[in-house]
Amino acid sequence: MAAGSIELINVTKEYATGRSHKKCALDNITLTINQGEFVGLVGMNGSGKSTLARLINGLILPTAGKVFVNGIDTADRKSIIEIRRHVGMVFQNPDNQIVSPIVEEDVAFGPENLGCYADEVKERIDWALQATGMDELRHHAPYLLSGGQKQKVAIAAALSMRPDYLILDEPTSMLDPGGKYDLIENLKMLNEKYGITVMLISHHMEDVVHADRLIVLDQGQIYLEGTPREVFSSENFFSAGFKPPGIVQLVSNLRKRGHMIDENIITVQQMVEYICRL
Amino acid sequence: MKGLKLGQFVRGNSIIHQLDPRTKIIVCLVVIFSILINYKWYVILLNMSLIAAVIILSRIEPAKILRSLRKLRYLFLLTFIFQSILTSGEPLFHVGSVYVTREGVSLGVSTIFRLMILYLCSTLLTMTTSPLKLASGIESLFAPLRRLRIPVHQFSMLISAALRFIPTIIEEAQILTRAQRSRGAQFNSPSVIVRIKSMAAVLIPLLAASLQRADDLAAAMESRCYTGGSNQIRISKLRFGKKDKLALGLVSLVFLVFVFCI
Ligand SMILES: Nc1ncnc2c1ncn2[C@@H]1O[C@H](COP(=O)(O)OP(=O)(O)OP(=O)(O)O)[C@@H](O)[C@H]1O
Ligand SMILES: [Mg+2]
Repeated sequence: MAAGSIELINVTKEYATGRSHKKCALDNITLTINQGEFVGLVGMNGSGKSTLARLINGLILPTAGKVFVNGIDTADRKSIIEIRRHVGMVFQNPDNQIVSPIVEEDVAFGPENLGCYADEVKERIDWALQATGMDELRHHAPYLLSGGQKQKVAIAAALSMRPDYLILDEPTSMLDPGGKYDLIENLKMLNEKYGITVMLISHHMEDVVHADRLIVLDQGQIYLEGTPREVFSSENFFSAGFKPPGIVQLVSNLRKRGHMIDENIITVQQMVEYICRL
Repeated sequence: MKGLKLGQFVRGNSIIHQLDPRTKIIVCLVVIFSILINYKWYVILLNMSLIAAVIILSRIEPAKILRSLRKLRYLFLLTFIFQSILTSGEPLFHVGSVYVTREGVSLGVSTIFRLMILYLCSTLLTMTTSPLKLASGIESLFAPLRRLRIPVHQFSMLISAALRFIPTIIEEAQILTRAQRSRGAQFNSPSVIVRIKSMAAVLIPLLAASLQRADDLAAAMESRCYTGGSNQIRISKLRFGKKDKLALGLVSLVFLVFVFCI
C-alpha cells in the first residue's frame, strides 16, 4: 500500500435493483493511479465510470475488494474527511454543485468544512481562483456565468481543499467546444505546474488525447489500458465500437492508402506541425 | 429570463448587504411581530417607511420589487373583498343582502398592507443575504434551542438549500411547461380534469428532477467534506459590528415607542 497513490484491489460494485435483482456495475477491477499522472477514463454509457469515481472518494463503498487513497482504506469511515480532502471531485452538471450564490463563498465551502481559519481560507481561495483563472469573477454570482466558467468554479472549489487528486466526471459534457478546450488546457496546466493528479472521465476521445494513460471501461471491466496512441491503434478498440479522434482516423486512413505519415500523430496540432515540416 | 427571481440573492455592496445576517433576521422578526400584534395605521406607516428606507439603502431597483408584488394581486383582492363584506359595522352600501361596511373596508386595506409588509420584509432579507450567511445567522441566533434537542443546524441548512434551489426549480418548471405545451398539454382547457392532468405532466417530472438535483448537490457537498454537522468556522466569521448595533438599537427604539407608547 504505497503512499501517494490510489489503489483499487479486486473491486466489485453491485447495485441492488429491486428485491432480488442485482446490477453489477464494476467487476473485479484492479487499478493503480500514481501521484502526478494524468489519466483518461472512457467508456460507453453504463460502463461504470461514475461508479469508479464515486468509489475513490468514498461516496459509495465497494461490494467486494478494497479502495485505498494514500494508503487509507475508504471503508474506514473515521478517515473519510482525510480521504476527501485528498480527492477533489467535479461532477457533470455545473449547476447542481454550486453551494453559494457568490463564487468566493462557494470556493470557501470546502476549506471552512475542514476547519481552516479565516487567513488560511482566504489564501486557499486566492490560490484556487488564480489557478483556474477565475480571479476576476470572484464576487460574481455563479448562475450568471457561462457553463465553462461555472465548471471552473467547481474545479476551484475542489482545489481549495488542496487535493492531491482531482477526479472529474464528464465535466465537459455540457460545454461548447471553446469551453471544453479551455477546461482541458486548465487541467493540463494544473497537472504540469502543480503536480495535481488528474483523472478525467469523458465520452469524447478528443478530451483525453493528452492523457499519460488511457483506461477504457466496458461493462464494468477494464477493457484496454495504455497510452492514448496504443489504445487508439488497438484492433480491440475498434471492434468494441469506439471511435478514435478524427485526426487519428485520418492518419490511419492515409496510411492505408500508402502515405507514410507518422503514426504517432494524435492531435490536430501535431498534424499541423508535421505538415509544415514536409 | 436569467435575471432576478423572487427573493433571490442579489449581489451588492450596500450597507444593507454588509449588515450581519443576525441583525437583519432580528429586524425582520420585529417587523413581523409588530404587524401581527398591532395593526393601527401608524404601525403600518412606520413599517412601510422602514421597508422603503431599506430598499433605497440596498440599491435594489424598486421596479423589480414592485413587479414581484404583482404576482400577489389576486391574494390581495380576495383578502380585501372578504374582509370588507365579512366584518360587521356601519354599512357603506349593499349589493342584495351583502353589506360592505366601513370597518370592513379599512380592515381590508390594512390587511393588504400587512400582507405586503410580510412579503417585502422576507424578500428583502433573502435578497440582501447570501443563503450560506443566512444559514449561519439562523444557526447562531437559534443555537440555544439545541438544548431542547432541536436540530438547529439541519433546519438552517434546509432553509439555505431551499432558497438556493428556488430559481433553478422555477426555471425548470418553465422549461417543462413549455415542453408539455408543445406536446399538446392544455393548461387552459375549460375542463378541470384536463387541466389537472396537464399540471401532473409538469409536476411529476419536476419532482423527479428536483430529487436528482438534491442528490447531486448532496454528493457535491459531501465531496467537499461537509459532514452535516454545524460549522463553527462559518459562524465565527459573522461579525456583529458597530453598524449592526446602531441599526438594531435604532429600529428597536423606534418600534418600542410606536407600538407600545402611542
Ligand atoms: N444508484 C444506482 N442504483 C442502481 N443501479 C445503478 C446505480 N448507479 C448506477 N447504476 C448502474 O450501474 C451501471 C454503471 O453506472 P455508471 O453510472 O457508473 O455508468 P457510467 O459509465 O458513468 O455511465 P454514463 O456514461 O452514462 O455516465 C449502470 O448500468 C447503471 O444502470
Ligand atoms: Mg457517469
